[in-house]
Amino acid sequence: MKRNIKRFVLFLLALAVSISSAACSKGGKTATTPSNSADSEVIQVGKPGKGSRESQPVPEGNWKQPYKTMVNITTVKGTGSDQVFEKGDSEANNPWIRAWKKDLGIEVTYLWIDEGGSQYDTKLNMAIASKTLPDVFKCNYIQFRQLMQAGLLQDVTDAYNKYTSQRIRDYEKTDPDTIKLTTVDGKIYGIPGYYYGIIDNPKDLWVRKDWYEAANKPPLKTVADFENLAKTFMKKHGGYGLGISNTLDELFMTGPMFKVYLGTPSGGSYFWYKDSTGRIKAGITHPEMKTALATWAKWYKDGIINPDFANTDSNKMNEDIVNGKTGMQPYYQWQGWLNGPNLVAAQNSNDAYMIPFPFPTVDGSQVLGQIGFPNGSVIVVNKDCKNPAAVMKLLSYTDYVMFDPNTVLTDEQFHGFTDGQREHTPGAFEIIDPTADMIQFEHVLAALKTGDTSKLYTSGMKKKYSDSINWIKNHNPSGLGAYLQQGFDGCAYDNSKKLIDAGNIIRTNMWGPPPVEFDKTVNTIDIALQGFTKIIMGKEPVSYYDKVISDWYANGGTIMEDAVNKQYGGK
Amino acid sequence: MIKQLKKDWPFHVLLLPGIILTFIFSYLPMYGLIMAFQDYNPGLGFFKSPWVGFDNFRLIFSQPQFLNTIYNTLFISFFKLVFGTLSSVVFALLLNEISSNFTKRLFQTIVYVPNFISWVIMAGILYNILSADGIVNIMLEALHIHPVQFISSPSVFPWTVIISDVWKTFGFGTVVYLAAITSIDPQLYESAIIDGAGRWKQTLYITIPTIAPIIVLMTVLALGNILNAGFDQVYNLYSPVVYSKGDIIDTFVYRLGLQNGKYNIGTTVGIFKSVVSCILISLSLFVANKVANYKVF
Repeated sequence: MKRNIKRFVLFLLALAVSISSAACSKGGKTATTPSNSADSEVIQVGKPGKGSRESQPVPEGNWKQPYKTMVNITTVKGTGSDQVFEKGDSEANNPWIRAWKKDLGIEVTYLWIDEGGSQYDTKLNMAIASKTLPDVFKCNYIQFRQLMQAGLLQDVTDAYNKYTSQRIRDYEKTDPDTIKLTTVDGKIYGIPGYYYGIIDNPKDLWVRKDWYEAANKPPLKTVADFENLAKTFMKKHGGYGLGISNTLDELFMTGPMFKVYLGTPSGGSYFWYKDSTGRIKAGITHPEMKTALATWAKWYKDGIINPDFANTDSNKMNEDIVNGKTGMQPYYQWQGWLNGPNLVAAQNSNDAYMIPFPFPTVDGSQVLGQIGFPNGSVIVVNKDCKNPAAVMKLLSYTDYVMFDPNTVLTDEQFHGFTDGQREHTPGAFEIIDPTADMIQFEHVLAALKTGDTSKLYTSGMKKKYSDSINWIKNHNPSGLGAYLQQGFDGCAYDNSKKLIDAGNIIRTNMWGPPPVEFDKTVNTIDIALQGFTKIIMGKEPVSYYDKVISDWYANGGTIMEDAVNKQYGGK
Repeated sequence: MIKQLKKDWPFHVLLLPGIILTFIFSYLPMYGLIMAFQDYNPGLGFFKSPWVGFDNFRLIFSQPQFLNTIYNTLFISFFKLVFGTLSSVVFALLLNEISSNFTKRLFQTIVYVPNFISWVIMAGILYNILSADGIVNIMLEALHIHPVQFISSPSVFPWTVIISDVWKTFGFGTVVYLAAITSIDPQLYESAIIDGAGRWKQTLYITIPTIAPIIVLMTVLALGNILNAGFDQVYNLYSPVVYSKGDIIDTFVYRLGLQNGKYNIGTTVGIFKSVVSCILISLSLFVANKVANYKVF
């Protein structure tokens, strides 16, 4: 019997060893492989360029001139999973590749392509570590810092000034500070990939349209208006007033109602404002934060905030909205894609969708749109690249096709470049016009009003227009996202544009990635979230806020604040 | 010895792939551990990245959050171990009393099934049945008991984690103990029956003492794993409001890694965990030798 037990134990041990070794290798992996740092906006970068760079008045770069003998450029890319190619084509052979070859005499080859894009940062880190870098690639700011420290990047100032189009160099003017982040001692080591524009940034208060109309469209100017409407909704339709999740992301979006600006806690990022003395401070330390917390605690007590919000993750939050448990949600401009179609289907009504309102404020004054730093990627050139000029030509050509209103393309070319999300196949050569979404919105709205579609010249414009029409005319729910974003007066982009045009916006003062000193801190946002949640749930009084903030300062807040002030010019 | 090697060489060859795999995947990557002592930069690599000595360790240990996570990890792990073992043993004993083989198998299967459900799905189920308007609270309300915030109350959360884990995994332990019980020599029971022992006395004086070494052994071996309190489970269940009592080492490191891409700090915590686990495993093998007379080498 004893032998039996011993045998059995041996078997168990073998089992335990195999299980634990599997567990070990898993654990070891998380510890040693570079983690996927997709959320690059929370990543640190070195000091921004000491030398300043103002956009220089140089003539249009000589980018259209094709090479006589074929030039080869290597690159890598991470792609979206939704790109579709014609038969026989692929990521490595498509209309873009052929056009570059034919029109510029440049042959682009890929060392690797990460389809789906989820492993891009990890793969790039491995390429950096093994020194198998392509001629040109996109990286995030932490990788940029590491590449600079390792001396692996090429100074592209001359190539940039001589061979890029005026359009690309004009992008600097829309956001002069961004290119300085990759300029060191006056020399350009990286070109920002840019973004679709700050019009994407301000958030809205989304309100169920059918309920709002049934409540006789009361004004939504003050916090009291908001509370009244929430209570009306609760009385008529049950449930609670405001849909938020336990990460507090959505609740933090309501900060502007109380004149505090708070960033995105789930991304670990703060909003940095300048106080009256010129010191840059995190939004959560703003004196009005107490007002916000007191009001949120009151909302919780009154049932305006979901009493079970601590159990509500973002899926559950959206489920509740679709199921009609609540009629209001603070959210991004793309809420129509997220909840629109499901809500319409679940409520079986073409009027059961949410429309965006600017946030009301405590005193009914104008709310400010909160703008975070939007750029996440940098286009860099390997120090061993022989033809940086070719890279600049590729950038300019791609931009010319995508965003230049004067570009004349045949129908065939247009579809070849843009159908099936192929406008994103250029990868490292894709610079986005930072005014793109603003211009797109103006053109789409004008076309919807007049019916004149002749001025829709980009694929984005055409798509947003036809999607909106699809909702307006056919009530096809797949068009609801585009319609709510840019299809009518009072749509999300309309709200944003009004704020931007009137200058009613506030930008974070950390206009760039977090300073390297942030490495010396450990998740400070945890401290704030824990403390604030307790206050909101009434487990601690509002005065507990002072302790939360002093804990926050003691555990890294001071380091971060000092570093941000040093790097971004505060006091 | 050479003679023996000559005789046994096929076994050694059989062992070879395992050794090679272990070497490649478990030993070679260990050079990555030097990241813990560096300000690691992939561009500079392991050999040129600047050395920072014990700075990473100092940073980790100076965080009150980190000490808190160690406490939470030990707390959750300890009670998972205690309740997990208890419930498995008790259930195995009860199952053993069932004479119908079919019923026995049926129950065994039923308690074994939750093992196969991933924590992602399980967390969804728990969210639904434990939320404020979930079935559990509805039942409590019917009994005039104040609703309990199982998942969002810091004081209740660790127990939710412990109990749900025990419920999910005790079926597996039951299988182990049941196997041990079936291997008990029936002659022992027969002689006990002749001595006039009933079912209860048989359990008390034969079954439990015979499986005791296995219970001790399983427990002791599990001690080496005590710093793993179940990342999957906690990560899928927790939220900021319960960080203070629910955050374990692994979830803490995950948030750190994900949000800041700090490889060196992740590695630092990994080393800390490995060192402590190594000590615990050595200790538990020593105890296993003393108490259960069990030796690996």
